[in-house]
Amino acid sequence: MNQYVNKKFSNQYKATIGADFLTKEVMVDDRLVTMQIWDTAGQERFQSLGVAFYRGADCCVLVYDVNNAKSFETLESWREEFLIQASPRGPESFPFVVIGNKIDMEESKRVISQKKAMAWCQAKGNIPYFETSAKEAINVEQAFQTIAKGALQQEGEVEIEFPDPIKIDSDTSKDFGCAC
Amino acid sequence: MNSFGSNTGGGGLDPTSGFSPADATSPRLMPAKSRPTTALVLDQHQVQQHQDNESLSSDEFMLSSSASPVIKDIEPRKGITSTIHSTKRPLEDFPLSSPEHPRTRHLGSGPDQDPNSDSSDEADGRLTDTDTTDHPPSSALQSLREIEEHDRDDRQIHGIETRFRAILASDQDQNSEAGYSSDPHPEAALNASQIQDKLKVLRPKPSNSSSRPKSRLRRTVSTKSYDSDDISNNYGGYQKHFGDENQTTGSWTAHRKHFFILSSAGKPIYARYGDESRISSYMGVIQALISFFADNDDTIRCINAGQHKFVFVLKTPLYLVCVSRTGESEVQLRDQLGYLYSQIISVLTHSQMTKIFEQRNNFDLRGLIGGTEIFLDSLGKLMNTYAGFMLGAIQCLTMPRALRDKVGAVLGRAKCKPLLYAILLTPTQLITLLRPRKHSMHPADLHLIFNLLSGSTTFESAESWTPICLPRFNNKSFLHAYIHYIAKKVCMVLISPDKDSFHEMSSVRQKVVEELETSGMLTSLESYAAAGSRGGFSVGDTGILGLRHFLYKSRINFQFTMPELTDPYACQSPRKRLLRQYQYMHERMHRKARPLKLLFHNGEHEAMLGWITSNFELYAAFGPFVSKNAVVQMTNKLLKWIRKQEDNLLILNSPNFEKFK
Repeated sequence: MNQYVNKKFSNQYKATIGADFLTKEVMVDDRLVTMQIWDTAGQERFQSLGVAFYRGADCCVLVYDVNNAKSFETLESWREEFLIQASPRGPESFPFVVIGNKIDMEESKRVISQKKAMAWCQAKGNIPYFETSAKEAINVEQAFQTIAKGALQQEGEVEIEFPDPIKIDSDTSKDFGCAC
Repeated sequence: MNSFGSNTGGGGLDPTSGFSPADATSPRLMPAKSRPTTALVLDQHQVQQHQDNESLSSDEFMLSSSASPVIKDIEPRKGITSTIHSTKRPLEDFPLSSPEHPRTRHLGSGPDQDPNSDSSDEADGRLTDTDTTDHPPSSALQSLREIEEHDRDDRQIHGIETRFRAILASDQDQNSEAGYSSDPHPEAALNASQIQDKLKVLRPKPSNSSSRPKSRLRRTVSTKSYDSDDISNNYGGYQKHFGDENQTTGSWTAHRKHFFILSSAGKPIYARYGDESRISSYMGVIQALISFFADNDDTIRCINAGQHKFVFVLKTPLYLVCVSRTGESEVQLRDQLGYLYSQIISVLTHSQMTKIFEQRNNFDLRGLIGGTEIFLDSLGKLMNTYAGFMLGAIQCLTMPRALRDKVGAVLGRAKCKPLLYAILLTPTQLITLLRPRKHSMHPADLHLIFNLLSGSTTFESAESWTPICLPRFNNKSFLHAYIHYIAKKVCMVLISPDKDSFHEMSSVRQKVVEELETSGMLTSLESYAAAGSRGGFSVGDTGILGLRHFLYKSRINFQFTMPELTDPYACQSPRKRLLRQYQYMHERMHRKARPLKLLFHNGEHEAMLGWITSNFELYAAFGPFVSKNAVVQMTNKLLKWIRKQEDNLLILNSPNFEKFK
């Protein structure tokens, strides 16, 4: 994250409420979009930020550490948790992205294989999967491109209808009456 | 800065931890603002409690005093209404406000609004009675215990009472717990390596406005208020003032009052200063704070942190937040956020906005309100200079009553079927307003119309026809406004519920203008409007030496008047100071816990007197060395003068169309 947004933001909030807030402008298909990236802590000791916090999100990114089996195993519960909290319209099609991070560590430390991770992603409705190194800036840009594209899909049209005109004459029951 | 800062800043973390939260927080320095922000959450519980305590006792005070807070002034209740009905003939008043409107929400509605306000007190005699019977002037002034002398410091002292110190200790604990400083166990960091990212993608403002419900107000940028030098952020022709600022520029943090509007999904909609998308990380913080309290079925209302107040108004699907160190009270800032909210409603209607967010709670509203940001800007600006918002009242153009009545009659005779309201006004002052007998106009709605005129010069050049929702009248649908300047600084606004009635409105205007022209009234109107733009009259006209300025509000008519801002208030900074002084007096006197009828405040720059009765509110500024006795005498003299001039200063007989049938 830091790698991606390059220190443009500060981390001052995480200590209190367990989240980082970043903004990144990114070009997606010749279109400049501003991405609001809200990075919430995975640790349970941070208090829940509440249902309202997740509502209206356009994309959810799940990050685990390829050198840590537990972090991979909890992906499922995070995904479910998100879908419950954010309750997006059409949860089946809601865009997720999974990132396996810290691939820069020695091969011997790695405990989750790419194959295993991709199999999980496929089972969950073909979630795009990236392996990144934040330290060495491997794949970070690409991952965020996919994230931004996924999020943009969520931006559907809304029907906007002109409200009915006010009928003043039939309004007799309403007491708009002045105080005189 | 503080130990909290060094804790994280000097941590020397392992940069390999990549996406883990521990890393995300490590290498950056803590900006100076971190302390108040950290204090926020801790403060809130106490602040909330404090407010609750206040509200418990407020009802008693309401009943024993005729003074009522701002909110009540702009939203009168049935009690008042009915009593006025019984004591006055219908046509004699000019109550701009509509009584309880079941569908409109109170601007700053709180749980502690008093439904059983003392209506008899409200409805007692007019000014004449008040002076002689209810409040015998000087003796009452002297004997009233409420007279309080303050020196300037009082304000600060009181502020500190209500503020609560943050305890940073627990945060520090949390910090070290989280292993932000050098972590001896890398495994611990690994466990923490899972994060969940929430992404909100904001599209830049669409250049085509196909999704917009109608061609709204033209996007022409007023050359008057926007300097071409200020251009930086140019969306669809809208050149935002201060648009090049963001949280990293000193000028941005130097502003004393910020407004933020975001959707309840946390997407930025509007920021008073800076490009709202570039400061969208703050919107995330706001969203997180609100959500944190919402999860406990609580509502965050206000945070006091040092000099700053953070005021939250939650009008799902919108959140409005003000961060201010102007010294204005929470209630006043809440009201101001309410006005901004009304401005957005006036563009979209409440029903349309709700429908949109019901369909998509991730909707980016900026596309729909695009082009109307200048009106939010101008509202923000006006609320810093114009006392009408604080008073919940409309300023009237000073002019002879006879002329006003004659002009009103011309408008009244021009009535055609689709015409709902006919308004003549200058960009800040009301000349006259014709209305159906049963449909009065709320001052808050009128403020939106004034803001429309002062926010853009686009109306000066042509006949305009624009949909507008007046939320107090009906927040579900649009009315349509015909706007045309019939003379310099004299604008005619004709409001119709029928969107196809432009030509009818235009011919009404033609008829009225012809008649005003042939009778010579148009020329007089123009000269009064010109005088009015300077202030209409000066304190010198009152003949009271030592009186510098005053605000006089009629609580029955929801109108106010004030003299020209002359020396020492001729330039901007003392002018602003005076408004802040008025705001302080207003806040102090309308405080729910202990409202005051009378307040004398001896400040560094001026002595102030505030006086509230059931009929009027008066706030007057005198020289700093004037004695209390002298102030009392001058105030009585002033009231006598106002009573004599009232016919010309205010609109005491609100005309309605039925009169002219």
